[in-house]
Order: sequence, then C-alpha cells, then structure tokens
Amino acid sequence: MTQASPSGGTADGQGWGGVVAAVGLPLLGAAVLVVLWWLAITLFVEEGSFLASFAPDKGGRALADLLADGTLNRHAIASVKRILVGLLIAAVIGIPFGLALGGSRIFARTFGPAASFVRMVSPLSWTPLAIIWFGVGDQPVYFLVAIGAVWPIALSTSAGVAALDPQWLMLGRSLRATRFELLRTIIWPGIRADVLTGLRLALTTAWIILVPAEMLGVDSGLGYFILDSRDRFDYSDLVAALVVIGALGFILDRAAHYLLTPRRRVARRAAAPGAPLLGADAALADPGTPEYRI
Amino acid sequence: MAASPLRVANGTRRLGARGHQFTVFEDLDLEVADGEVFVLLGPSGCGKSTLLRVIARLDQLDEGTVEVAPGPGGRDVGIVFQQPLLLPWLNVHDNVALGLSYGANKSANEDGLIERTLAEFGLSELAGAYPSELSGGQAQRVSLARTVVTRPRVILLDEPFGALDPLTRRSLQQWLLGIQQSLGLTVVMVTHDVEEALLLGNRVALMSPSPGRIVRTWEISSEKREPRQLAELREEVLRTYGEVASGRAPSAPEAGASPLRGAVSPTR
Repeated sequence: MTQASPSGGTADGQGWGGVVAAVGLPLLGAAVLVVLWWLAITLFVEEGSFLASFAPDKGGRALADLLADGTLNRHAIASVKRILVGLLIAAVIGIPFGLALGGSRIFARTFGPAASFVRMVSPLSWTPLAIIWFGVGDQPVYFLVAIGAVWPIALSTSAGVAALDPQWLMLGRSLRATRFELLRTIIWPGIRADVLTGLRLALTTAWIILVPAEMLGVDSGLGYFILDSRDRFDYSDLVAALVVIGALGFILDRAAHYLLTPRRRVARRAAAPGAPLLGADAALADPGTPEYRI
Repeated sequence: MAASPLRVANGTRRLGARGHQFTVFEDLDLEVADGEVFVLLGPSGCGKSTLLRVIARLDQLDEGTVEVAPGPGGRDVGIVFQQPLLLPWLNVHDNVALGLSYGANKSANEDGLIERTLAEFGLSELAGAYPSELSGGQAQRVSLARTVVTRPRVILLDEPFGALDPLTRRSLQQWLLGIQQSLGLTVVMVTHDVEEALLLGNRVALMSPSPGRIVRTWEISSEKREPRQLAELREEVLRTYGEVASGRAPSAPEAGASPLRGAVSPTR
C-alpha cells in the first residue's frame, strides 16, 4: 500500500502512523489502566468506605493540589537528588571495580565470588546496618541506593572489558601506549556503550530501592511522603504520590535512554551493510608503479 | 656505512610449559639493511610471525639478542597486522593519529605530518570516514599509515594482505612497492605467498618449521627480475619451499646453515 503511494504521501502516511504508534498507543494503554483502576474502586468498594479515596478522580485532585502548593515538588526534588548522588557513588565504585573484574583473571577469581555473595543480599536488608553506621538523614539512603546500583554498573563494565578485542590491546602495545594511554584511548571508548547500559539498568534499580529506603530516618522524599500520607489517613495524597513515583521513574528511564545511548551506534548501523561506499581500491593504486622494481 | 637498522643474533624462542616445551625457532640470525624489503617466507608454523612479534617487542626471546636502531623520532619498530585493527569510534584521520597521541611517540610528530602522510597514502579524501565505511584494502592502507606516521626505523608487516581478496591484494602489493620506494621505508615482511615474496622482496629468506630456521636466502637483484630469470628463480623457490613444507631437507642448503632438527626438540 505504502509502496504504491507517491513519495510525499508515503512520508506523510508513515509520519502519522508513527505519531499514532509513538504517542497514541501509550496514551491508550494509560487510559485503559485508569479505567481499570476506576472500575475496581467503583465495583468493589462500598460507598463511604475509606478505600473510596483511592479512586482516580480523588487522587487526581489531590495531585493537582499538592503540585500547586509545591509539597510534592519538594519531595520529588529530594528524591531525585538522592538518586543522583547514590548513582554517582555507585559509578565511582562500580566502574573501576568492573574494569578490574573484566581486566584481570586473578582479580575476578579472587573477588568475583565475594561480590556475587554481597550482590545477592537484597539492598534493603542493609537498612538497619546503614542507619547504625550513618545515623539518620540522607547518608543511609545514599548508601542503600549505591549498594543496589553498583552491581549493574560493575557487571556491565566487566562484560564490556571481557568482550574487548584483545588484538586492540596488542595494537596499543605495539604503538608503545602506557597502561593509562591504553585505558584512555582504547579500553574506555571500547566499553563506553556497556558502561552506559549499566548506568541505565542501575538507575531503574536505584529508583525501586529509593522509595522504601526513604521510609526510614528522613523527613523528605516520595517514600517519606507515602508514609506521612498514611499516618495522616490522607489516602488521596498517597495515590498522588504513587502516580508521581511512577511518572518520575518513567521520565528518568526515558531521559537515561536518550542521554546514555551512544550516538555512534546509529552511524555504525547505517553503514553496516558491508559494501564500500567510497570507491574501489584498484582505482587508488598508483598506475605508474612498475610491475617489478628495476 | 651506517649501522644496520635491525639485527637478530642467535635468536631462540620456546613456548609451552616446562617439560613440554616447543622450540618455535632456534639460533636465528638476520640483518636488514636500510631501505630494503626483507621477506620472511615459510609455511605456517615455521615461527615467522613469532619472530616478527619478537622484533616488535610484543614477545621476547629466550636466548639471543634483537637490536633495532631508533628512527628520526626515536621510534625503532612499528608493526602492521594481518587485520587492520582500526578503532571503529575514530575516523581515518584520528586512527592514523592514534600512535602519535602516545607519549612514547610524541617526539616523532611535527606540523602537518598527519596530513602529509594521509596524502602520501591516498587517504586525504577519506580522512573523515569511519572504518565501517571503508573497504578491506582501504582499511589496510589506513593501518599502514598509522604505523608509518610514527616514523619507525623498521616497519614490520605480518601477512598484511592475507585477509584480502586476490584482486585487492594484487593492487595493494603494487601500491606498497610504490610507497616503500618513494618513502625509502625499511621493511621486514612475513608471508607464505611465494609470488608476493618475489614481487616485493630485495631479499627473501625461507624458513623451515619445527624448529624454525632460515634455510635459504635469495638476493633478488635487478637482473633477476628479467622475465626468464624470474621464472627460473620462482621455480627454485617453489621447489625449495615444497621440500621445506613437506619436511625434507632442502636440496641446496645455505653455506653455514646447520641441518634441520627433529620436529619437537625437548628443552629444559
């Protein structure tokens, strides 16, 4: 169908089709979710029950009020700040650890099993220890976010290093690169895509850890706000907080996807289908070169 | 007379664990003159690539010495591999400039060196292209330029055209001959292709496998490039190559060359 239409029409048709697929379908999905939510409350919750304040319309009204008076904005900013600091700590520890894990067999054999052990301990199990170590405030939250987010970063980095073509390292050595020069010019650019993938995975993990981590020892953030709403018996506020948590997580993941996907990959894919684009070699050989040297 | 740019004396290299050692090559001597193309010819497993890696300092001798004189920028040897090994995130210009960005080669750099080299190698128009956009032959030219631009005294080529199709290989051989002569490069090249050896080499050294030794060396002077002379030489080289590859002693061993040894010589 599209093949038969003139080029302008095809572009338009694909353009509208693209917009519908990119915006319309996700909006439809969100609408279905809201309808299911509303149906569940209307069908199963008796009039006047406290559960009725979980309805989408009441939650929506609470959300608008809380955004208007700045309450939710303040908590959301506190949460985002904590997740960024936690991620930064995770990256500062996880990237060098992953480099060592992927780069040295002895290091991997020595610390790999211990790392798997620590990784399998759910980050939230550290909560009591974190509060004893760091007291109340932001620091235990940073710790919990970092200890959860460090693994995706370390493992992706390590996988990237392990997958590097060893011949590239040999090339670097043949050009007399020092260890640091190898790291700067060959290893780091070679694993950048893997590190960015690790950061994205870490962000998702961190966001999931953050909300429960904020339920202890802090007086701001979305996790705190959920408990606070519960204590105030203000369930519409609680619903509003859930909506903001989901929306912010979605936005952070999209932003990370946009910011942390290497641009180069696009160029590489476009040029991939093999054929030389830039002329045959024979044409560039010097026609004046004698067959054998004289 | 300037000192020889490259000399290997009594070179021996063994591989493998203690008790199961394999002698890759043994008591190997070679000397290369300025501006010549010295070809190491031999069947696979004769240790010619290992020898090249030793000269490139990517590997070490167990016994013997390698002496390489430094080039104008202080760099002694540069190696080009069978695979171009271009970094896919760098364009042609930046791939060629890679070695010069390292502290060890900084003194080889000078204004306009990279642009001049790109021009000499016919790569100026490709300077902004990425490796995925290059053909195999173009990529190998970039790889050679990356080594030449650091101005090493001796350039080592490890079967540089082995991964290319025959047509591209042929045109690159001609091209290499031209650029080697115009830049006066000193080259040690490894190949198992007799035609390639005779086309490019001023001297061709035939290596035997297990353990690797140089069994014969041919000087290819200009009169030997006459068609009839060349045909005779080719016959002779091919015959000797065949004997070496099948494990028989060559018919006319070089004066002073010791006889071939057993397939695996256990050493301690």
